[in-house]
Amino acid sequence: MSDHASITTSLTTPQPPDRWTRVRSAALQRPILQLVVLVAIAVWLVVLVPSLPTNPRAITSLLVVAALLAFAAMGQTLVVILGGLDLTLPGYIMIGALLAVDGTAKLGLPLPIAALITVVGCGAVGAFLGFACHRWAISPLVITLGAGSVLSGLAFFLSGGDYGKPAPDPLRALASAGSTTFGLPVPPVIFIVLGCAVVIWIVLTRTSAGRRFYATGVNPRAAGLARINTSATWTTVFALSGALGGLAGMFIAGFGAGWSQGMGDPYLFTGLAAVLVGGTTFASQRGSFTRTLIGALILTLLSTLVLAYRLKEEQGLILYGAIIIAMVAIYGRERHVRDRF
Amino acid sequence: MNRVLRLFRQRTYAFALLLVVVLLVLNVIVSPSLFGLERLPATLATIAPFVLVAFASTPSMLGGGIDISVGPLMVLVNCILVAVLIPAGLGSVGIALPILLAISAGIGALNGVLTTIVKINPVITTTGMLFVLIGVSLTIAKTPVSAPDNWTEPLADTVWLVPGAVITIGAVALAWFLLNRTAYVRNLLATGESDTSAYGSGVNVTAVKILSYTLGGLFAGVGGIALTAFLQVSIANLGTTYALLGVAGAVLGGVSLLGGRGSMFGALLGGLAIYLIQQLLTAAGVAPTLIVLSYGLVLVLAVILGATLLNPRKR
Amino acid sequence: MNDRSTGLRLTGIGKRFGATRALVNGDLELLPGEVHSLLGENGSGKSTLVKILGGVHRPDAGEMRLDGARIDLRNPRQARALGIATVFQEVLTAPSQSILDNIWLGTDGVFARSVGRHEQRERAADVLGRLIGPVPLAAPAGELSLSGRQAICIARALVRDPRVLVLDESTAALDVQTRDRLFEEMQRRTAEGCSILFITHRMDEIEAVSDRVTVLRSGRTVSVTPRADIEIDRLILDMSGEPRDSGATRATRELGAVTLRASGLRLGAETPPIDFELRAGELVGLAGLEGHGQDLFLKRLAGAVAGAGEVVRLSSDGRATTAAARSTASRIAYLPRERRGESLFESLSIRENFALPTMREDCTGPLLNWKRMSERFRHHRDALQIRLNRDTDPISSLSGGSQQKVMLARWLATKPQVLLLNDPTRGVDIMTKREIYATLERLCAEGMSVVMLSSEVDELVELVDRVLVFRNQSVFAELPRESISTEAIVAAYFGRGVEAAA
Repeated sequence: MSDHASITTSLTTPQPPDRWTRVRSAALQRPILQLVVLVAIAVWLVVLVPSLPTNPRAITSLLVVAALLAFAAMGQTLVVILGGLDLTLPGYIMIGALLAVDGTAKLGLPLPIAALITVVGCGAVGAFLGFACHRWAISPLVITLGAGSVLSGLAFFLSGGDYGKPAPDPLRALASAGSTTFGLPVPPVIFIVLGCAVVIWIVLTRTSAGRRFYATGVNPRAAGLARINTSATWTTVFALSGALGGLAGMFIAGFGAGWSQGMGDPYLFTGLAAVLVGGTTFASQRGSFTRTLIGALILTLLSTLVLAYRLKEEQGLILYGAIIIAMVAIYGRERHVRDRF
Repeated sequence: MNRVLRLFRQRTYAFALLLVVVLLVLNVIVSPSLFGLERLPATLATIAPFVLVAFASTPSMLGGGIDISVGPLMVLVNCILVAVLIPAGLGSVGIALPILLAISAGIGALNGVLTTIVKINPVITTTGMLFVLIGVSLTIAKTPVSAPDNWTEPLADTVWLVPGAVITIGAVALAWFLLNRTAYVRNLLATGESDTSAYGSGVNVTAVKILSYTLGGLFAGVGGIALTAFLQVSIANLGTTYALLGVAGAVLGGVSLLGGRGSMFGALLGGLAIYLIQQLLTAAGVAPTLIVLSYGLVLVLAVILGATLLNPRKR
Repeated sequence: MNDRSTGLRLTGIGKRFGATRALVNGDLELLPGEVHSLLGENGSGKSTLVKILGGVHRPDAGEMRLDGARIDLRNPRQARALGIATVFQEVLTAPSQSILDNIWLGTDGVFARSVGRHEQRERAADVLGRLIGPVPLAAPAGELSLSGRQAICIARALVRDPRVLVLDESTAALDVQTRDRLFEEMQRRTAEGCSILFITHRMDEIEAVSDRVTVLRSGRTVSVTPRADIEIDRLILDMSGEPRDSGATRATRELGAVTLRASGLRLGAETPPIDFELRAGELVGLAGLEGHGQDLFLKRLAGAVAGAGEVVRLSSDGRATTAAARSTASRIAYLPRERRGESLFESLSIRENFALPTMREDCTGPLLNWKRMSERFRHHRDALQIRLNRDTDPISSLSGGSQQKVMLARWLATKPQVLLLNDPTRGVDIMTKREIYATLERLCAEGMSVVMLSSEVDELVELVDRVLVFRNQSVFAELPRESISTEAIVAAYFGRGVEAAA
């Protein structure tokens, strides 16, 4: 009788993965490589510029830039986890900037109202795009590209080409390097981004909606059959991407000396770079906004390093490209055809 | 009606063809002189980069991947020719042409190797490459460099009565035509649609895919030459503009992002359609501030139309 | 006596994937002119052996010899070049490409064509025609049914006149007619000296075609039996280490009230409407040749596909709810056919895969309570006897049979009144099958209504109260308990009635 049982168990109980496999897969689940790279670059920077740690202003500027980049990439992170790509981002940023600057200056809208309109408007556009992609099985690539042009063009048109006005003071205070939050010498935007990161992390790892969202990315067909409302998931994620992109636009307008045409473009590819460097891959359950944060920090420190070496911005771009490829080559390779059999 | 729809679905380029015909008619109505004989070579020279970047995006897409770095590659070739080779005295056609094509094909091959052998997702690989290529272009020629008289000029005009653009576009079309007479294109399409089927049946999937990216690079090289012919200046900033135009043109032309469906003829029509849209909006006197918006709108509508009526994919 | 150095010989083959040893000591001998069957449960190493023969994987240990010479297959291309043609378990076609191109896929080099177009057409028409009759070769492969596409894959192997032909569960996707023609073709080929390695889960096929049978268990070759000595019971014992259950008789079931009613269901534009009623405690089977409507009918019942006609679930207090795929209120659960494509989230953990449709029950407030999820899962895990290490391991670490049990647990957790199963034991080993049958019996005894589509006639004969056999998108025959037999069901497939048992 016991023989029978042992044959049975040996036949069908899967062998426990050995220690090394467990450690390795646990390591891959967490952004360990990214943290190592981040620390390495930070150390390198400090060695190069020893005065840096004693210059809180410079550090805060760095963090603000990284925070803005991460904010701009927040929506993209979610879309990538779902398995898509949102190229509308520059358009959302422009609309947000438009409402922040012209909305307040020319239309006299109070800032919170401008923010509300941004969120609702961009969110609605995003919702439409997400719904359309799901409903008609369209790849998001070209339709979001078109939508981005529509929104950029709209911002261009509505502004009449006039980019002179600066953003309203309260907004600038949120993102300026010298601002404080409740007495702490840290600009509010950093707390805002960190707060968003915590909320997103909780939702993605600790709520059923978050888990069902991951499932939709991992296997859309099975998700639909598992009673997950995939249409709602696509619509919501793209709507969030829109709303967050629009808000990012407002902050970005508040950060610089104003806004300009094409201001949103760099955030698209650099934002995507932050997502990829952070280790989020398409349609994978291994993605998170925490990774994007780390990715944004890595890229920002990298560009500071580039400046410290007196290299030009162009050469920084080359480094960006190289590091994206290098990171993914290390941790995020896909399977060989033979393993998909 | 059903028959018509079936026809559209079987011929992936049909929708783009319809679009091009409609746009052509509208364009000719609005600006009759656009395609007049004297202006034709110049018009074609303007069209050539759009078509060639769509051409360059197509092979990798047919194989199930994607290459968004072909646009910046085109611009890089333009910068290398104008800002490096010509000033260095290497600007003659016999020397420059092979160098440029070797470089562009080489970069394409690198993309192919990274995607296929190192097995990085093609969106990621080519995004990284996009950064690198734009960075290199800007390093070589941050500010526009003007080109002195050179052999590319006739390519924007006529070469022995043949419009130069026909030569550049024709060269790529010929190359593809010849490829089509071998087994390569069939192998590529099958690999794009189901690489497990292709691999299991004995197709050398690695070679097929790497070659598709190499071809894309090569075609982008030709595109860069056509771009130089037309601009006669190096403009490094155009990289991002062309990056996505190529994919948009190919997709409009019926090339599927999932792989295995589409044709170069469709890509030609798609690139042409994008040019015609922009041309129509400008010529029709649409306010400059509204052109970008209208262009985007047309793109969105075209994609939705194509997906709903003409190419419904089973979900 | 055959010259011992001819043929394909595998000795001591071992293969591991990470920490799993798929093959430990695999031996196989394929002589020219024989049909050699390979038997083994899921996890026996059978599919790995096939993939090694196909050139997809390389063994870590052991050697392969073809006609005495050692061979090392690095990729499918090499295997083909040596004359070993493999038809894999998955139907591998490129649906938008033409049937002709699909058949000749892989024979060319990257550029060079090995065979001229005209000859390609002739030979493809000949080979495919012998399997499924004349077919327009220029049509896209996706237009054919699953059986037709599998025939394309088989034709792809045959058209190269291989010395060794490997058929990995090729008959599973074929309709009966095509299968019989395949058997004829197999006979023809072996007469010409080809060796055929034939893998199937169906005992009747083993008995029909095999010259010898090799049994694998836990990665080792356990027995090689010549035709004369084939005994199904012995083979099952070799495969599972367990004797076969002596012909379980169908339990008599008490049927309750009607729980599901379909009226006026049309599967096609001009097909006759179907009316159907399901009672509590009943186990109804759906059968038919591939593509004749039973799959679509089941999906209509599940509400996964829309169409003409109405499907209504009747609850115990008489209220009617229309079936809809995503609503939990309808209490109809549907287990899809394709595990990988339609059920599994491979990178997610076992417990998450289990809990997805019912995750709300694990929430305290807005947050998930993982402990509760594990608890809930443990309850079902015990009931279904699912063997696993940790429920946080990815579900891809389980065997096919265990995965299917987790899927069953997933749907049972929704507390359905009606359970719709689409070929639930496909790709599941014999022992797990028995456990699933036992579970279904128990569920019916507890009053659940079950509709099960199955492509295995034996299964239906053993389990169901009645069978609906589909033909041409409508119900051709409904066989009540007394009339169910293998002959009757297969006859109905082909539109023939069997004299009703008096």
